[in-house]
Amino acid sequence: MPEQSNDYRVAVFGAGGVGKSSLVLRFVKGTFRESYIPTVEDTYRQVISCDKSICTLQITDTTGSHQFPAMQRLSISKGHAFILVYSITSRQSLEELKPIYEQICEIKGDVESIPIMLVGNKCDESPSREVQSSEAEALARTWKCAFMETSAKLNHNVKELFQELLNLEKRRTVSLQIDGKKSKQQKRKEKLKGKCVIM
Amino acid sequence: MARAPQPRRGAAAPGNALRALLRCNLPPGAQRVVVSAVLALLVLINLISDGSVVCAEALWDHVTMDDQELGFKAGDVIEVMDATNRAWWWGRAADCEGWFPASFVRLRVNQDEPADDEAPRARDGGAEAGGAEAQSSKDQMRTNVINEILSTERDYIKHLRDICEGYVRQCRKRADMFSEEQLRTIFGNIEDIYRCQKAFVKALEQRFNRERPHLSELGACFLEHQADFQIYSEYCNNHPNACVELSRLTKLSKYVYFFEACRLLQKMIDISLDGFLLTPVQKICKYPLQLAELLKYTHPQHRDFKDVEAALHAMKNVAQLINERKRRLENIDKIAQWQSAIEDWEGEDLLVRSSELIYSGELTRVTQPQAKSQQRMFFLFDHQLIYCKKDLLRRDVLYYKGRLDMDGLEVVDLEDGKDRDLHVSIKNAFRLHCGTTGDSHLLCTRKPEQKQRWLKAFAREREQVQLDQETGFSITELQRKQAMLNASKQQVTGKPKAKPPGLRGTPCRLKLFVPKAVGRPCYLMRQKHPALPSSRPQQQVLVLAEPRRKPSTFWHSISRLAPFRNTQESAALQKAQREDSQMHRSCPVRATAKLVTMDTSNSQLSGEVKGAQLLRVVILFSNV
Repeated sequence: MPEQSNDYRVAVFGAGGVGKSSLVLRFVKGTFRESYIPTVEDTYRQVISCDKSICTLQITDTTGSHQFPAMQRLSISKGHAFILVYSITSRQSLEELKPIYEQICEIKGDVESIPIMLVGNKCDESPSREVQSSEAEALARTWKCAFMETSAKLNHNVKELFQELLNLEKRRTVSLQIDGKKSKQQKRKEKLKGKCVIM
Repeated sequence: MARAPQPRRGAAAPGNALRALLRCNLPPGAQRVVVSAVLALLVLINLISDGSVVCAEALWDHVTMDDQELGFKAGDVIEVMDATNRAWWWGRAADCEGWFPASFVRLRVNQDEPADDEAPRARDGGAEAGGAEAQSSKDQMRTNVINEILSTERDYIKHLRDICEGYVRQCRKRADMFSEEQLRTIFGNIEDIYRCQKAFVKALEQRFNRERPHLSELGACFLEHQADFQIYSEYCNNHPNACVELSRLTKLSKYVYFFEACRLLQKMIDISLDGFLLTPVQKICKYPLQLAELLKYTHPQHRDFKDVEAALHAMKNVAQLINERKRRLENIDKIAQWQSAIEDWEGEDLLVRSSELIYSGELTRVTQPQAKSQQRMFFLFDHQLIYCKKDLLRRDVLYYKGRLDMDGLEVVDLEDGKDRDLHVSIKNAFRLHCGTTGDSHLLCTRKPEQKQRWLKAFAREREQVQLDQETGFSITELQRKQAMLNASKQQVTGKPKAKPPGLRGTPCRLKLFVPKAVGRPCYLMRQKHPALPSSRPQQQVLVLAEPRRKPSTFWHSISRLAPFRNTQESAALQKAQREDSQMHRSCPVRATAKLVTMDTSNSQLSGEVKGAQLLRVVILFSNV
């Protein structure tokens, strides 16, 4: 096999206003905007480690496409992993994930080997909670996918979400941390220190 | 400063080398070596020369007593000034400069944006609030939305330009690598899209009010250009083919390097070509969102209000139309496959006139002479109604029996009771009457609800035909042939590997059965496929289960749940995915090893290549 553009593609799905963009922005840029959240870029990227080497995590934002399933299918077919976001304050947003999940099944076939994460965002707004975590957990079990509650606003579980998602990937080792060769670098550090002194 | 980083150097030299490479015909081996070396150098120099904007975020605390080293806390932002060394970088945090381990930080992605884009925004807001206290927050929000529309549009234009100039143009120069047809498959009509969007963004800029952005009137722009956006339909429909072709080509390293060279030369962000090619699909879906947002913050008294409202509606329609065409096109493969599974097919292919299954079910057909009744499966497509007979033993096998042209037919609802012409008593019956030939077909359902459903379906068929005429939907001959070819290929390859999922628990009414081999479908006999084995054709038959939901949502779910589930389309997708996963399994480590061994076979260059290999790691880090 020749060298490939080694990217790992994650597609983020969910109804409008559940915080897909906020989650991605929080993860990639570390920021959160209370008042005005722009439609995010089409694709975000992040350097991650993959099989002890470096690769690009490509996060495809699907904002806007949930009303257009045929076009959504185009994003699904290229994804390696999927994040399905709903808001814990809206039952409707969870309902809207079902057709998306079915589409993923339809296109990807064997979903058990594909990392899928069901995410209940806005867990900081629990007073107006409409979806109990136990419910979502049960749904995740029937979908054979993982589940997590997050808050992009409080930066709760955001990094963990992406890390867990990558942990679900069994076909290769992907990780957010690029620390595969620490001991080597430790050695290198000594070497370099010497050099610096000389200069 | 303990040690100044490398002075800035232009990227011209390696850039030229790359340009030359794209033109000349080096032997692949040598080309590979040179390309990887040049690429690495190019990016590294770019990185250094753009040192001021490369920011990294600390992942861990770096505690150091060494005054040549830079200490920082996790989360600090460090400006990377020199990354020539793989493990130790030179950078600045706060007011200090020093060495730090590269592994302790991660490079910020999307470096092209200001590191903290909230600050200037807040300042803007503050200044304006000071100047005009009265300005409502709604105006500020409208300003934000308008700025966003403009900025995303500019970004998008840049993407399109990068693809057209960075990829398409370079590919055209290499007739030895790409045929015109291949380019058409990979890039579709992206150049037309680029042209249209250029005109569109120009119109937007003209209407943009720089001093008071919230007063800009953008609605009319969208309205004026709404028809142009329909070209996205062709692009979206072609996109799956593009992906298949790309994954086929990128199995050859020569193409991988070529595309990578194109990307670097154009200084594009670190996303593979198929990522870039998806942007138009994403973009056309986003207009309705942006316009909805704009409308939200447009006061009904605003001069732009009516236009924005109309624009939102128009752009929603455009996206819906594109979506619908995409869906229909996905269907034609299924229809082709369905047809090829019917025994004894006669006459022209279904796709010549039809492209959508509207309804299907079992009806009793009462024929004229002796008032004989026959059980037949009927399939209502746009323009025609096909009827088939079930095999006596194998109930899932269908024999083609005939078709009715819906265009000249009149549907007559009949009352229960004695039929005057045939002198039989009928129940739940309707008549299809052909005005020109005077032919008449009497059909009965078992239950009254079924009759109602059929009558509604006939009405829907007419609506569909009319709608297609209005929107100008048609299948090109090429698409039709491709679908028939795919269907026949499907017959050869047999059952797709993945079992049809989603049957469990889904509100699926049309279920698909995939029985074992039966006779060879007629379609294949007529086509010239001498190599086709007759032993493994595959039969697919639709069986209608009872609909549970109201009919209006019925078609929605049918399209979604794909009555003809085992399609070539999904097979192609699955194939592409398999290829994908294959290429990813062999990800960096092995690929790197291979590259090095390949390159070191050329002993002269091996030292340099290992260096290049080191630098490649930096490439991955530093593409900004």
